[in-house]
Amino acid sequence: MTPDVRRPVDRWLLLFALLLTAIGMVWVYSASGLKNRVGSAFLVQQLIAGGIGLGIMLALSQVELGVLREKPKALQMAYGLFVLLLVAVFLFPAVNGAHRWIRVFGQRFQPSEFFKPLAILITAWWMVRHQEVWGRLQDSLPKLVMLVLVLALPLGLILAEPDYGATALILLVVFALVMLGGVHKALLAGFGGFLILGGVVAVLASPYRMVRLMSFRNPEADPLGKGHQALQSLIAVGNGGLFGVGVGNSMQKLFYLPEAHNDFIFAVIAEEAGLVGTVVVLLLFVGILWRGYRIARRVQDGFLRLCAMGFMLLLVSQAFMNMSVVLSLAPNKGIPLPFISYGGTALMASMATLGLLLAISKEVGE
Amino acid sequence: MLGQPQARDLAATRMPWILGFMAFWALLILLRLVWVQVISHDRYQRRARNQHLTKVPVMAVRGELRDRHGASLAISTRAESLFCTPPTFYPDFRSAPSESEVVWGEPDRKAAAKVAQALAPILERSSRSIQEKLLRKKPFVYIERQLPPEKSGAVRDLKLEGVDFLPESRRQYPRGSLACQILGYTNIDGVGQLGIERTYNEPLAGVDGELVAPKDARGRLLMFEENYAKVPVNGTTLQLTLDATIQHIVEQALEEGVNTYHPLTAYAVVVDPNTGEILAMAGTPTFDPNYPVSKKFRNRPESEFSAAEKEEYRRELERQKAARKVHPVEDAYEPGSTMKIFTAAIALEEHKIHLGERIDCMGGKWHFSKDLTITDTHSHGLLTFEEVLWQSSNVGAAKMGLRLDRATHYQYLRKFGFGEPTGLNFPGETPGRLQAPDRWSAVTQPTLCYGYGLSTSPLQVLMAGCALANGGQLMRPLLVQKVYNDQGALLKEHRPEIRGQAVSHETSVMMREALKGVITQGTAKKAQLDGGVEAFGKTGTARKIIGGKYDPKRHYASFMGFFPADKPQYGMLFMLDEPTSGLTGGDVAAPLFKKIGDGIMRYRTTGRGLDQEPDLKLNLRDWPVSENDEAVVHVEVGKVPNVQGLTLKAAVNRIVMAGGVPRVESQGPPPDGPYVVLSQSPAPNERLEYGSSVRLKLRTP
Repeated sequence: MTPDVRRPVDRWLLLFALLLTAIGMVWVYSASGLKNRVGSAFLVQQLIAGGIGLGIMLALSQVELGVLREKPKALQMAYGLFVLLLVAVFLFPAVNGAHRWIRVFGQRFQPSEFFKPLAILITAWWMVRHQEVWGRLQDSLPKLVMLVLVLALPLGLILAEPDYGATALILLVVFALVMLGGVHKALLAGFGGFLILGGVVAVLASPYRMVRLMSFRNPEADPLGKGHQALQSLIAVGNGGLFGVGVGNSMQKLFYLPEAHNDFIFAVIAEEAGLVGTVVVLLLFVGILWRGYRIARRVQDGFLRLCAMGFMLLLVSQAFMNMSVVLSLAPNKGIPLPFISYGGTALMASMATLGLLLAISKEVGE
Repeated sequence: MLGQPQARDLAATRMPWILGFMAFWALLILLRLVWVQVISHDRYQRRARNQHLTKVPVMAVRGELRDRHGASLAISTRAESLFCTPPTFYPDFRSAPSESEVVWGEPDRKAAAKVAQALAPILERSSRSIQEKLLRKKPFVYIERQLPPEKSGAVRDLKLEGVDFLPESRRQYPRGSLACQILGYTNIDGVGQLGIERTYNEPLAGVDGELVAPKDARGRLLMFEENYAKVPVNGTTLQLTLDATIQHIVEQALEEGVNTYHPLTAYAVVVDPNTGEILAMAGTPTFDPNYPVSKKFRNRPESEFSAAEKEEYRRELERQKAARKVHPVEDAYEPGSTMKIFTAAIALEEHKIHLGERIDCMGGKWHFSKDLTITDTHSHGLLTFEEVLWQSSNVGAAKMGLRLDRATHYQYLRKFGFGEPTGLNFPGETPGRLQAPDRWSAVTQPTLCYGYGLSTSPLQVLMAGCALANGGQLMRPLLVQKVYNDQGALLKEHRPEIRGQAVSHETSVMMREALKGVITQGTAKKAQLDGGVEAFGKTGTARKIIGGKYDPKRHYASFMGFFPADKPQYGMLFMLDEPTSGLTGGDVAAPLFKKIGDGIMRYRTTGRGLDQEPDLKLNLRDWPVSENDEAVVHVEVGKVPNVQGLTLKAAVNRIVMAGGVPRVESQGPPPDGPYVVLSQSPAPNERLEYGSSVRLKLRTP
């Protein structure tokens, strides 16, 4: 066995992720304590998932991601597996009207969460594999269309679950990778236009989504319809003030907030820990942004660089999306806060993503 | 390739754009956080409090009613009312700062049906009617008011979602129907409806408080601490002038009178002539103020009745009000013969006549004018002043009275209190009617002399009689003696009040002597008390006006008497409205007066106070278990009763009667049959502090 000559993992990144996970445990307990007869039921689930996630993260942080570049078979097999899993979710009964989970041995598992990093790997591999063509407009178009078609199948399945948040997030990060991959400006503009057009069509096709989209702009105009969640979220955040009402003392989590332990956990943190708490969480994600960007800048390999940017953007933009929803800066898409929101698969997937980022951090040059 | 930048370099040049975008996004979030959490904090905090906090009324405990010796006549015990929070059964329920904006959504019928089915057997109601309440679109709905303890225990054991208990106070009248018309009763919301409960409703009720409590979005209350927006002030306790024992004696005599002579109604008032304090006041028929409303209307607020039910409820209340008339203060009648003693007293006071003076009674028939012939029941020739009273001669009384000039006669009648309220301040009291002399006709004055041509309330007559018994002072009748706050501090004391001097002390003494003969030799021989106790008084047999004419067969038969004669302590008026035809006051009212008078004297000499009074009649008819419905048990106040082996309902009642608070520990699942007490603590016959708890362990039979 050859000794590992690579650098140690980025410890700052590890620290930020662990701090976020710890904060998550506190508020999952605080926000879910009243939802179950056993107050700690949600916390125990989350702790188990966190333990497994930690294991996955540490294991993945040691892999050499570079080998994938030469072994597309692995990616193809994973792709096939996830398409099957995403089909399989429709065999299980819907929870809250959505087919997002498959059930194995009594445990719920959400395939779309793990598909997120896979989509990054596939896109990055594709962009590097065909890097010579991107500069030429005519040659690059079919390659881009190919990529879109490859991703369209699983994304379509995720959209059908329905899970608009995950779909939008993946598309956003894929767009960033396509941009970084060196696609011709004109094609990039076309691709961006295509995505925006698709979003507009999707919204217009469903009045429900339209209403939901518009309600965030002025939640108080319709406090009990679609604006209700947004308004209750703002009340929670605003009620927190500078220092919050104290951990465990949130009133808004008493069913005023929808999904207090999940999509709106940031609002509970805001109410209980105030601006101090929210800024700390925001800064921790900015920290991941900083360390992730630093890794991407310093890594020499193009494939790993795209992967690093992709993983970092996946975690940080999901966090910013979630916060934007809580703060009524963006429409409610139903997207959890990475590392913090309740949800075992989401936590494990976030930690796995971070583990891969850590693995790349071992490859940075001087 | 020239002119074609490498993809790798492009990545390096495009990465800062993405970093910039993300940094801009983070900045936007930061600014928004500052805006919402710092700058708009006050606004959101207000909104949050608006929707989180709700005001919960805290009921003040209604004050007690006690008799003059401190025995409880009306007490408020803590009872629990079962209520539900319907939002629990609406999964999509959304609370809102204003009521009109609340969203209900579709109900979870399954969950509600489950709760309703669990409650139905305990509450003995159909699960459908319970479910209807569970799903009513209101934040708070009563399911059943004031549950008996074993029912609330059984409901609590079920640990149901969406239903909870609210402590309330339940009015209880431990002595059942005793003094029911005087005490009155309260409705389910604790508002006095009759008698003292109504007159003194405000001080008895106290002021309800308000608790500020947080609630969750499903409308459930979360009581973390006692945070009063308004501290409740408990009601005051009234100590009445009534003596429960005398009241009991009077009510027994009334019952006997009703059974013997079948009047429309019979009533009696006992006062202390020296102070005007009413010691007993009773009338027939009676009712049990513990259960004033029939089952159909119990347990429901009036607002829930349908229109037809409202009408029926109103009619029932009307009927009950008629049955609950307080005749001694509400009835206006022509006093008849009783009035002669006042005529005689006025004539004596004005020196128009002297003791022993002979009056020609003209053989019992005097053609006074062409409109008026005055007749007596027996023919008399010459009668002395005293004999006129003893034989109750109308002619004699008229001749005495006509010696007075009209103005003087009228002034004295006013001094005796006729024609104006007694000052008792009781709902529905009649002031009677006495015309001024300028409106008198030729026949008014002679008829006034023997008690016609004016109307009085029985209490007015008795208070006027008291003036003759106590040395000439007209006293204001008193029903409330002392007012205490809930801590037992004396707030107010009503002292005897002299309304005026009706006649001189000498006249009063002379009248006392003269009226002794009514009992010893006159119309009321049957009123002679046992044990040589001297009394004096006057019978009254007043004809009733039926269809504008005096009906010879229908009359009020009454007796007003005072004893002991040398220093009267008790004054009593006993009245029967239409006793069996032909019977006079001397025939029917006098023996009942004797019965009461003997009873009171016995009570006075043996000194048996209320504390030793053992007989308490428990009315258990509305308790759910099918044991014998009425049970007469001996319960001593202040001593732990022996309840081992009894059913829970009987045990609870006895403990409440003894002044304790039952605490029930049920074991195992609710039984099919009634619970039976296995053991109790403290042990029987130990001293029981008022309001202290008695623990009961139950087993199933």
